[in-house]
Amino acid sequence: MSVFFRTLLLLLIYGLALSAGAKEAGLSEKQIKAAYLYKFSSYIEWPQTAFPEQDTPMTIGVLGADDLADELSDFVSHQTINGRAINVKTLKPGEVLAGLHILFVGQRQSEQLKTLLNSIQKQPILIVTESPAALDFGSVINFVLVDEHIRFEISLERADQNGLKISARLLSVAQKIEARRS
Amino acid sequence: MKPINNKNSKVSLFSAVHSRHSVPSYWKVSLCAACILFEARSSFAVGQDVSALYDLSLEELGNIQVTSVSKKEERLSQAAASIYVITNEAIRRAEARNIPEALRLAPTLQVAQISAYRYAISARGFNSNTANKLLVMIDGRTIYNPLFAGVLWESQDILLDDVDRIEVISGPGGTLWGANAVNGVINIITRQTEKTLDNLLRVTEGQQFESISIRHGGKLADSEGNYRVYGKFDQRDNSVRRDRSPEEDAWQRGQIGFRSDWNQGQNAFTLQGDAYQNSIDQSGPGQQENTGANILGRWNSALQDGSNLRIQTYIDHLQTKAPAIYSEKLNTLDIEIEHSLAKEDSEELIWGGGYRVAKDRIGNTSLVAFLPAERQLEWANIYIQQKNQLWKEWLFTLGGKLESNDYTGTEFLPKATLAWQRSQEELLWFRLSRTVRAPSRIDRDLYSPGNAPYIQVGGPEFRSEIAYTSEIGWRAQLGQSFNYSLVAHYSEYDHLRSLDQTSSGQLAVGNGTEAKTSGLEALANFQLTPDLSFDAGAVYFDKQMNIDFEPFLASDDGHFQWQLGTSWRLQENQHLQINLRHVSELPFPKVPAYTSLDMHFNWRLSQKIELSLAGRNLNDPYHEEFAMQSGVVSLNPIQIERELELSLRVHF
Repeated sequence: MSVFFRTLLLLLIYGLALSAGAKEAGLSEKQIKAAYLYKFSSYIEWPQTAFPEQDTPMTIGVLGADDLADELSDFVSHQTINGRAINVKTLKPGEVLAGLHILFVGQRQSEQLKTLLNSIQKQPILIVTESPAALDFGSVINFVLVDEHIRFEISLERADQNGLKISARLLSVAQKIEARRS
Repeated sequence: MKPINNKNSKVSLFSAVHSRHSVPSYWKVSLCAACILFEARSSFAVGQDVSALYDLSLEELGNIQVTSVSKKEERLSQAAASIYVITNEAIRRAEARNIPEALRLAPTLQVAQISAYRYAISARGFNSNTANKLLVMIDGRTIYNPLFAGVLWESQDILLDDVDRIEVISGPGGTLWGANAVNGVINIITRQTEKTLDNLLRVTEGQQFESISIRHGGKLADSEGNYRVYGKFDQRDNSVRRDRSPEEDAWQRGQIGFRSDWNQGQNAFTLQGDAYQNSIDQSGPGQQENTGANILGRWNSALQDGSNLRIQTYIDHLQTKAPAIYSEKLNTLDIEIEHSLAKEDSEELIWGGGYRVAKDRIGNTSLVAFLPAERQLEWANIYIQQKNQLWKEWLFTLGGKLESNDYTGTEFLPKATLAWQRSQEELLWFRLSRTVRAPSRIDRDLYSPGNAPYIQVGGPEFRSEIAYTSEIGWRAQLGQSFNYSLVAHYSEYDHLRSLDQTSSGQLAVGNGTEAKTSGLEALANFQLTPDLSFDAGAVYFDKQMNIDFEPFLASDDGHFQWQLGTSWRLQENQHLQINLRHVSELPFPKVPAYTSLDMHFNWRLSQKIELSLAGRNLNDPYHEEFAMQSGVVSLNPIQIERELELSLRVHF
């Protein structure tokens, strides 16, 4: 057997081994985005007013992405961030957007995005979206798909307006940063 | 759970490769492989819980590839035609270096490399470097040269990383796409600029080829739109012939271009353009030089009544100089308008029209002459196509096009399709069509030698070639992971080109050739696991002609070809692509059957840096693919060589 075929055989067995293990399920966009949403909270500083009590829970609202909300609440049910419990709220279109710290607006709501985000301007909410040009409509962090990898872009101006501070660590990972317009 | 596998399994790959070198016995290799099997399984067992995802760092999250098992476009499963789509991912995985190499990925196309820059590409036969029955478009701009009635592949390039997909339709596409789409249509579609907002640098260094390309993407100032600009430079060494002597066909090519898209309410606009220059060594005096530029504007509007209006126009300029052979200057202006109204899935009305004018100036030599040396040609067309529900799942589509040209007046291209959508996953279709290839300059105006007395005196009587085609196709999806398609076709061609003797003993292009072709096209795609998929295709083709062989600008078609692509994600950041391709013997000029094996390994080192090792024709140091150029048989044809190549992609 030639060296070439031996290499091929080796790769074949190696690949089959990996595939056998991976058969369970691949990761979907919603799973990765849910994990990001959870992660983001550690790299954002909210103004004092957002958490009136020491133990005010962190509330994550999810609109137009119920499957992502399910994914996220499964995980966070017994997690805390900086000693705070985490609530996940599945929002319906038209529902009042109050008491949220993070708001995720799914692609299904992208047509109403502009009106929606206009209605909650300058509130201490980290707005996360997954629609093209969403930063211009008032989103703070927007997911983008780059070569089948999920990355995100950040608008510093919107973060400022909402009174949020974003850590340099998060900025360093962003695909793109929209600077403040002075 | 694949993406959370720990670093152990990566380490084991390296140790495995190491031990292969140090202990080269077959048994030890197998033993080692068995270890990996065990090790890999145990590491996966640890990571079965999705919650491990939440422990990953931000960078690690960004490095996870999203599974896209069922991302296929829906309308594809309902398309009543022989369609194969080459995706952006497939092009990148195959490390394609030019458009013909990307087209090789379509099992329904015949792609043969003739020299360092020249290719013969066709669908359903009649293949040569001037194959004239295939219509090729880049973002709606036709690249079919009206002088040759073919595509000069050496002058057509694009940044392949930015191609969204290539739709390959084999079979007649005349009604919607126009004359010359007799045997197929190739539609190269580049990505919307909102998908290319980052910057990309790609450097490739290979045994025969090197390339550098750079793309910058961003948002337009008013932020309603996006743009990208790119530049690339490629060069390739001389080829080698059958007797191992070098062929002087090394080339260099540079190209720049841009695209911008923006939306305003119901309107979408696109403006794009490219410019290129290349120079190619030739065995005669001097160098061939080609330059060109194009600019295209498109306006899509979603109207109040739910219909869609598309208006597109472009200008294309090209200049070709082949010292001692010929030179060409060609300017083309094209404008198209299309209105489509889809009431439901089952009912659709599309109608439109177009106008094209092309003006050329040929520099004739003592070898050949196009007379007159300057000519302006005009084409105009109108078309309509209606899809109706006949009864339950039976859909009937009727379409027709009238196309006028300066040589033969108005031609009629009708087609009728009956489709049975048995379920969402199963489609049976049957189609009859009549298509036309209208005369080109080369059919009517080519004289040889370049000065009187001529041996060949154009083709004053040459009329359009006509094809009547019937096709039957079946497409089905079995479960989530397997889909296949089968198409059988039969065509009769009348009035094909021939070279006839005139009463004065000279030669003239006529319509004396007839042909009957038949064939089968089978395609299948199987996703075994989220990380391992197979893409297979096989084509059988038969051609019968009323003459023994074509005397002038002949074609050379084999009976059989198949290919198998294996796409394998070894690790979250490592991918192996194996493409195996077999082409049976070509009859005249004879080219032996060959099989080629390509293997490409891609390794994403970080979010921003990717390294790829491409291996082409690994199973064979040399093989031949085609032994004829512009009707001249080569007794010492060019060899396609084994090649290794390293590429670096940086996203920033």
